[in-house]
Amino acid sequence: MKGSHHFPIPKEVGPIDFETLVQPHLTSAFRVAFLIVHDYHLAQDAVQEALWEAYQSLYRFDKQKGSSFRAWFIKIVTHRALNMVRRKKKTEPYMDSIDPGQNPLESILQKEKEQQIWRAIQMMTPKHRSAVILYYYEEFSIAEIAKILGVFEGTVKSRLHKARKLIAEKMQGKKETQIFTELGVNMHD
Amino acid sequence: MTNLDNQITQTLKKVAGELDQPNFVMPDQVVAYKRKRSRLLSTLLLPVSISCALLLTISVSPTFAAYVKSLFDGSDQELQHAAQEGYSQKVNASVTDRGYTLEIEEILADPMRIVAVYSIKDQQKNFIHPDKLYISNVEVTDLQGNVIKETKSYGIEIQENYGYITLKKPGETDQQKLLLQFEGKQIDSVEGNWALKIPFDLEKTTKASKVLSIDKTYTTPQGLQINLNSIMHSPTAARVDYETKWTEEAKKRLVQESKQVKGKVDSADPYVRYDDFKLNFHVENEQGEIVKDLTRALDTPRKVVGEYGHSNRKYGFAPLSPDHQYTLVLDSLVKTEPYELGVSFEPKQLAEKPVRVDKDGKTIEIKSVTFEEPLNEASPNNEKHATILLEAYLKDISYINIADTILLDDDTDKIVNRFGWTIKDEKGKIYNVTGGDFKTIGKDEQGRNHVRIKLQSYEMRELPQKISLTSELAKKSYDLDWKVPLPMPKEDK
Repeated sequence: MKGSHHFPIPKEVGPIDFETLVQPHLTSAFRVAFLIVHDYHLAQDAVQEALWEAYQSLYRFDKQKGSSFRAWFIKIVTHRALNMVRRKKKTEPYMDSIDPGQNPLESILQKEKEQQIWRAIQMMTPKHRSAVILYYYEEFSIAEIAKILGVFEGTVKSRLHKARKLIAEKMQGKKETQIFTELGVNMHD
Repeated sequence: MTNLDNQITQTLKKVAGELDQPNFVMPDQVVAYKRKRSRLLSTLLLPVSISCALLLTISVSPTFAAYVKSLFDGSDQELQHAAQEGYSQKVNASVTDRGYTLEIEEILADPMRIVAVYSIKDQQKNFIHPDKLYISNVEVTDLQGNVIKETKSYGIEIQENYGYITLKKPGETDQQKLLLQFEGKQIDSVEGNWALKIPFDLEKTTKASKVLSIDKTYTTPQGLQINLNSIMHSPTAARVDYETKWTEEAKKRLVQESKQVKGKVDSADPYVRYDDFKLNFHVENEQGEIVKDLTRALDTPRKVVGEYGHSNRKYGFAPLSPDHQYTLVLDSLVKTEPYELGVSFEPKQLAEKPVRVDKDGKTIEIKSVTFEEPLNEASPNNEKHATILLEAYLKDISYINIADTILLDDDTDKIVNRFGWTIKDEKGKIYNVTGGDFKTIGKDEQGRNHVRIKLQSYEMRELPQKISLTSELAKKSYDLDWKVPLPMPKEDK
């Protein structure tokens, strides 16, 4: 065992090293992971694990014609992030609904509407949330998201439809609350 | 897109845009040393061949018009400032293929770096996310087509509809008139050829750049002699040039240290770590405000000057304002040293409580050994693997490599030795570390660094009765406090 290669040392020499290949996508990968797990350190773990996996599986990417490195890497990151959510659920009750008062990011979302949207996204199931993030933030097409998540295009469409409905309902609910409050009916405790 | 769709996109961009990106361990840094000089071995397959790229050369006449509005306005502050000072060159060169247009709109180039702004549009002139372009080649050549090798490495930042591509170190050539070659092979899922050759000029920014002598020397208690040679002020950055070499006494100590580290190949000769250190600097003004560190943006490998680690290095930061006085502060020296860590445990014990070992002022706590379930089938890697999670409390230790460092023979490129964690079971079987993570959590009440280490192995598929972990090297941090005032250019009036 001693002296054997366990990291894939490439058989062919190309002009780009792994860091150069992956560096342009790291910021976006970390942000995707964060938006899925909404925890800074877990997102960091997800991307770190994805880096190892991408490095070890790079030879598989070479075989995948028609997929950009970005899409391939984000696919690994997304799965690692979803895995983090599953692991987190196993070890502690997962806070799907986050106390808005405890969430410092909300302070940068000045508009009420933006806060409602972000809360709605946080409250979705991880599979709906990941579809939303890949579609709206990363701007992948439905077909690409289907490949990334390993589901049919129809499933992606239905998840996005449900996610939009949820967000709209959350915003509508807030509107109704405001109307009632204006009428002098206090909806909150 | 509906109004709701736009609001969702904007909200996600706002939330994500607030995040500071953490540092990541690059797996290809597994290979770090050669006997005489250090370089990365890992060069990987380029997914799309670039050899037969058909270059659709375009005639471009860059206009060096007075500054009106720059795409750098939405970029980093130092680039914004340089653009406002008139150093940005409007380009507006484009190439269309398969219905997509790739355009380079602006270039900002000085002796430190070249930053080009590009965009992609479809037939209806709608912006396409810049990430959708699969860049197959970026390089800088002189007008005769000779590649300026130092400018090879690049990074990309995306802001709204524009991509900002950075190439480092254009200053390594004497030529002032250069060409940026930018080629893409795929946009979204459409394959095609998008290649641009953009002429740009370094004359104006080179004239505006000044190199001023510093010439101050300091020797750290560890025996590293540092000579600050000079500072270069350019429109987009400032950079200190310094030289390092070990004292005779320190060299002897490094030889002694090399004998304490055996590595994984028994027959290998000791390897002396003359080059395995890092100096951490910062620059502050008279009010103690810290200047933005640009090490990552301007990162340049050290240059070997002589034997025994005698080398030339650089530290880069944002341009300095003439309204302030600045000081360069050397904060610490981080040096790789022999550092033994070892623990043996029975994984079954972990079911009750973590295994904790206190020895020689070091504390190691094994938290868990878990087996990852195969990931979703769509994931490229769904193999079962083990993860060992441990936490440790270690004085002055700032980092322990997760991946193996491989020492290569300079002439044959054969592996001479490898250094890193060893995972062994009760039968003596060794499992290679195939992934992991190192994180600093904070300090304990004794002032020791509290770290979390994750070691993964795809080779361990079932739980051994006993596991032993050993590591023999670590990065140790020594606090320093050397301050040097930085000379500023005199304004030409």
